[in-house]
Amino acid sequence: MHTFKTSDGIRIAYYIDDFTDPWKTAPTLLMLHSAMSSSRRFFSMVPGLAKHFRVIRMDSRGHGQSEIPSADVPHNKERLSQDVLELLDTVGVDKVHILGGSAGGYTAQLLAIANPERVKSLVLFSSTPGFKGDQGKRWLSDAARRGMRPVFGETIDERLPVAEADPRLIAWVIDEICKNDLKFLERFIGHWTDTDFMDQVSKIQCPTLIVEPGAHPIGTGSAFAEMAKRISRSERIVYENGRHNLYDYLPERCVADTIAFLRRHFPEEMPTAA
Amino acid sequence: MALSTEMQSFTASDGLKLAYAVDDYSDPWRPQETLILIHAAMGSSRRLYKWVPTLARHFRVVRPEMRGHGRSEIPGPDQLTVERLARDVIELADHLGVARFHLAGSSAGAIVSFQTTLDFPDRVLTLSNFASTPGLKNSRIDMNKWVSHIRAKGMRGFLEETMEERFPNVADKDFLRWFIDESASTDQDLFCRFGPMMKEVDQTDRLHEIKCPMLNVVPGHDPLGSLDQYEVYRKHVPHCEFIVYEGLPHNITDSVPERCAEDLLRFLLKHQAQ
Repeated sequence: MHTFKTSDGIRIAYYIDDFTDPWKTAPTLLMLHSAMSSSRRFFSMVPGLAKHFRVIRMDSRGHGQSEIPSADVPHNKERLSQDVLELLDTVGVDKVHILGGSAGGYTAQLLAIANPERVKSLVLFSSTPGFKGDQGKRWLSDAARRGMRPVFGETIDERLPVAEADPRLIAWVIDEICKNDLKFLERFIGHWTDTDFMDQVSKIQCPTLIVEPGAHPIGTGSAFAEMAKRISRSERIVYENGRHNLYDYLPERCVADTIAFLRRHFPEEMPTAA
Repeated sequence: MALSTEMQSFTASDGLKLAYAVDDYSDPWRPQETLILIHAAMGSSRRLYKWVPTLARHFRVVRPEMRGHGRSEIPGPDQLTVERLARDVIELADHLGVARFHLAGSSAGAIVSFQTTLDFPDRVLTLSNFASTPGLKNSRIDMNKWVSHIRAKGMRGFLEETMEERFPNVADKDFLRWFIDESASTDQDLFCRFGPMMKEVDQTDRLHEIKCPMLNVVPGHDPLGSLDQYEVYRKHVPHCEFIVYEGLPHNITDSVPERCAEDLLRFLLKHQAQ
């Protein structure tokens, strides 16, 4: 684990995994996790990706091993984007592929809109332009009343297919979710539930892979098709009956789709066959 | 920035500081199994980087650096025997709190793995040997010639002039340069003790003692050791799995690392303890 301090004084943790040939310069892939998650939750995707990329994972502020900002530190989506830009400066990378899950993908999209010179491509799992609506607000008020574990335990089938997934995986994901600080999540998720930037996604110019969970358990299902229509260089894949946390329970498929997409668009970076 | 794993170290019972790397992307909700993977002479943990992503998705992969190699300290005159190298493996396992582990080695690293299994049979779950004979006593290597060549030309000169027999069919010049850079960083005096020490080892008489599952992967076309010498394993360890990589010379662990890792993974999953 590595850390750096943001320009507003928050300690951010990040991880580098790289098994590419040491005599070559490998392209960098940045992974941004969702709300209530952390870099750890990407563990099963990392080895497959780190054969081809220098993989950097960042714990978003308030999550994982990163510091939880105190209530007087201003919180907004611009600050979350700024954290990523400052990380890229810290590790000395001009331009990266960004893989984002859910809220991590919101920040990835906003970076591709506002800072296109830093983003080579987007790979988005279960991520639409923001999370406007009541669903997130309900989680937060419910969790404040009854605690996180009952609320996210009862609704876990939105995130993982309870009938099919390994029960030990399900228990682990619930444990990981419940490690988060609810007071901070009220700010973090709360901000995204007031945000919808569908009207801006047409500005995304880089190749963009949109992976849509077919069961549409969280957010607005029609938003995936709508954003695919607006982003000119996008490709959309629907995982039939998929739940929200695709990469927790289908890591091999997520890796394979990511690599196939990036190989199609960046053959010069990935010359060897998988 | 390639090869991202951070090195760790521990102190062996005779006071020498020994380095190792750990990579683990296995499911955190399953019982953890450990694989110890030992590099060849003139090598280090780095030379096995390409094996890691395949194996570390399923096992905690520990790559020790043999005394005198990589970032481990150089042993004194009385501190270098094959039995001592085997003890280092056990002391590392003790340091990590691992009672029983899978063990695999490349070339001289496999001679050490084999010695470890003979001396500490209760600790080793499975044994996998790549490109190794039971000691170098019967090999075609003229160690006196190697040592005088190294004394005359230095490690780099020796390696440059013998690359053709190591990699006759590898065309990637950048890989070959990297291999020379890595191997030439080995301490010259250390190798001039290590090589002759291995040349005195003959474990043939003890092959029948191996009771754990065993995998042997051998090069089919090796100027340094005939297939007969590799086949003693098949003769004396009838339960072993024996795979020949047809047409390939000695350094299979560097020239086809992913093939090695995949064969090892398949063998290990077949013999998993859980």
